[in-house]
Amino acid sequence: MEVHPILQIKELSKHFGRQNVLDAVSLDVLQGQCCLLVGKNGSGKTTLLRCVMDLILPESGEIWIDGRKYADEPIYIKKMMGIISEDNPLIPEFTAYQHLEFVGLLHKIPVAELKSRIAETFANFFDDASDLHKKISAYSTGMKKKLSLCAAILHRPTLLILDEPFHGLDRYSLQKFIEFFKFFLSRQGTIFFTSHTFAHLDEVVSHVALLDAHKIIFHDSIEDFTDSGKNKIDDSLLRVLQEPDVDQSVRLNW
Amino acid sequence: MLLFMVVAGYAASDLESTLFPADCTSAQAVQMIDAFTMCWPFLFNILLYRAKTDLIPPIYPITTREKTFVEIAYDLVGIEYAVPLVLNLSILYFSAYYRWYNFAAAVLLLLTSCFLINLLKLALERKILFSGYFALAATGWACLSAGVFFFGARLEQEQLLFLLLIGGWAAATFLFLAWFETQTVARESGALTRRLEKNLHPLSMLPIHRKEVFRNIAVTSVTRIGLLFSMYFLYNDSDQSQASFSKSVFFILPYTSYPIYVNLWGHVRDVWLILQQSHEEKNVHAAFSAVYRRLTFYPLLIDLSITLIWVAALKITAPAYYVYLLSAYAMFYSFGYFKSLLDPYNYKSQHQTTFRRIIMPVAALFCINLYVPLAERLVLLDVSAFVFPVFLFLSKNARLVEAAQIPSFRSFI
Repeated sequence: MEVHPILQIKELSKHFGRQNVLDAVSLDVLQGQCCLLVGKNGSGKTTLLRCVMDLILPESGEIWIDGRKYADEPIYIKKMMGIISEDNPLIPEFTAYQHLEFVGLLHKIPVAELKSRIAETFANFFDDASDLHKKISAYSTGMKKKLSLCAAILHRPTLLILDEPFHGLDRYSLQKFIEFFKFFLSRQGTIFFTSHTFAHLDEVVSHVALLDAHKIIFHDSIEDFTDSGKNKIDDSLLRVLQEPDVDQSVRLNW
Repeated sequence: MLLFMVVAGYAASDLESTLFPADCTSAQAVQMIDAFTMCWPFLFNILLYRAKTDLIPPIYPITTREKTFVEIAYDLVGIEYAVPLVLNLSILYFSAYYRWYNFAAAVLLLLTSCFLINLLKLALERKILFSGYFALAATGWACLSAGVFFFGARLEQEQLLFLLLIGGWAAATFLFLAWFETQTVARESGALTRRLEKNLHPLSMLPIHRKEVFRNIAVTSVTRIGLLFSMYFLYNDSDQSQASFSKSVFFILPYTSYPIYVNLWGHVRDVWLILQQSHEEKNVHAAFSAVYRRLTFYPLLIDLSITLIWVAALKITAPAYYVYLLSAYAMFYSFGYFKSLLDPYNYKSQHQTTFRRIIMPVAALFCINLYVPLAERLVLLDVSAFVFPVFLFLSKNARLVEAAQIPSFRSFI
């Protein structure tokens, strides 16, 4: 079966004022891949994701999703995407059910099907069903993250764009996320995400893209990045990012 | 809702005797109800203002038209519009003074406020560049609607058409922006993005902390000057015979001054850009930044301070006046937001804080002035006239200390 690129980023550049954030970034993510975008703090990972989500406009370059551009078919693209981002805040005044119902209606999920789909999705990530009717303002950080994922996948997307999906998760919930990723990938879904949590990601990540100095300096399979599994993801990342001549010792005059 | 309507009905029947006392003309009473109708949504939106104006984030697959209608419908069934609507309905039922055309006018006022507020939110959200044309349009709207109350003094049946015109204007502008303007930041055309970049103000070229310093110095200086003006007006301008002239001049002045400022600033900016291209020295940036700050704050804050204090000095008791004064503040600070959008560092949260710091005490003053009995209100007005600038000064005082510690900027104070 021919695998086509589900996400194509071509020569994307973005700057804020005089500060250059992305400089002619190009990247292809094929269908069925799980691509982890890594880089230092402030390297432009979130900016790149926000461009992909059509939340900010790049100065130049193009983004194609499933062979389409936002300018031509925004509704089609948004229907196929599931997003976790700071720009998609939960509504704290709502209960989890109300929020998921709101999201489901925006995605035009048939009302008859919506209730069962909410229950099914929620039960997959939350052990206590009564949490569904709690106000989101009473949720912990980890619970909010789980709810964000529920909202992102409620309409059964084929492409997930996730900005720091594991932030605030406990080990148990992290494993649930990993298991969901495996399930999603097994159904030919595609994931493009950033994370600073690398534990257990080698179970699901197929490709790594490394953003540094405003450019993609590495984009290949996880095997290449970790030297066929000899190193962990974070060790490999440190090795690439750490400049050999820079002194990493603490320089505090305490 | 039914229970609420019943309670509101009883409240309205009791309110009628309060709102329609023996010495109160029907026109005055209707004006008071309209004042409430108009101010309530503004108060709500100001007190509960959130910088994130989008009810539906742009990541969802719905069309602009659907999004617009959902947001409007969500607003209209909210408490900020439902309460005055129910109150007006109740008064229509219980009062002999209150006619159907008064009620129709109230509904129009509500719709106008809804469209106006959404218009501002929409423009903020979509980062539409604020221009002199927009300022002139806002000026026109404000002056026209102010004219209905201040210069006509009474709301008659034939004036419905006039109100309809105002409401229609606001609605048409809103719908035009909602449907035809850019949907999100990412929808902006290349030309608009380039315009935004070209319009970055000079302070954006300075390091962030210096920019804050400039802002604080300017605000504090203006507050001091505003306080002096306030004291002068309190002492000198209490001649009631001049009230009509002063009212029209001082009320409209903030609106008219802004377009003038925009044009003036356009020239200054052009000059600055030319200098910027020929000189890279920091002191050139700093000097023009200082000019810019003064131009920004002087016409806005001084006018607002003077207007507020002038109201206190002349002891104006017409509620509609306060309604429009508050609207003026709300509109002005939305102008501030427009300006902030030209800022590449995105000071949204900071502006939000400033917005609350300034608008909330003003809104509180407004509430006090409306609901406290007349005799006490006059005393309160005199006292409260000083609260706004003092509050502003105190809230900025901590930053001022920081500013004073940077010697290179002392010369600009």
